[in-house]
Amino acid sequence: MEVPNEVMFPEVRRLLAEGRTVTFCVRGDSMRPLLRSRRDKVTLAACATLRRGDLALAEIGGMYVLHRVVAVREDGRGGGEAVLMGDGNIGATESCPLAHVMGIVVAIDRAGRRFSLDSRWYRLYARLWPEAKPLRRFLLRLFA
Amino acid sequence: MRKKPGFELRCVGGEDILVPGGVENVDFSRIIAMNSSSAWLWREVGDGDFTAATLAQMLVAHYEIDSVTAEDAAAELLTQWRDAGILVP
Repeated sequence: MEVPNEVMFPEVRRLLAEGRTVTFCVRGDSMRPLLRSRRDKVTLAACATLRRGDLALAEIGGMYVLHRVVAVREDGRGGGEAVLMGDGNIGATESCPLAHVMGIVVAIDRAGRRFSLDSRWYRLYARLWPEAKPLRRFLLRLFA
Repeated sequence: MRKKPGFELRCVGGEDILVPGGVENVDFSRIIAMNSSSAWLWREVGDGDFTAATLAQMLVAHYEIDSVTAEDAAAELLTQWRDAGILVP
């Protein structure tokens, strides 16, 4: 009964725009070691202001991507661009107009345990992991 | 039995999915996707009471299948719906 991405994400966009929150199971390895494909779930809400470090769901080139925001470049006219990078990616980034960001992660169910992004464990990870980018290739192998 | 109220059957990208309405959070890992005949039956039964026999009659009338096939399909579907928690007795 798995709902395909092209069905789920337009619906996710609608629900987030209505002010509701949405939970789904992640697919793909690009957010390792934080999220494991088909095991872990994320809960998202719409956000008024996107910040560096947020985990954002964005539509990029017809694909839906859930990655960490590494930069926000506002254009001063209410628009701008977000640059994203998966925690599990070595160097690849994506960018999209801010308007293409559908929402941000507010809670994670990891290996069956739910935690908020205010938890000490997550805050430590979110601070250290981007700093450790030069070691990422090695660390990913370690945590695989 | 009847359909549990509060669900909205939405057709998105050619697929029918049953989205809970009126709740704060929608969990897509528990969302129900329906094939075209299930979705048709779900719409067709409306808010009224129905049994496996009711569903089977509808299938026979609409899809021109024999009653044995229809009864099997209806029984299986009803089990699925009940297991999915989208029916009330």
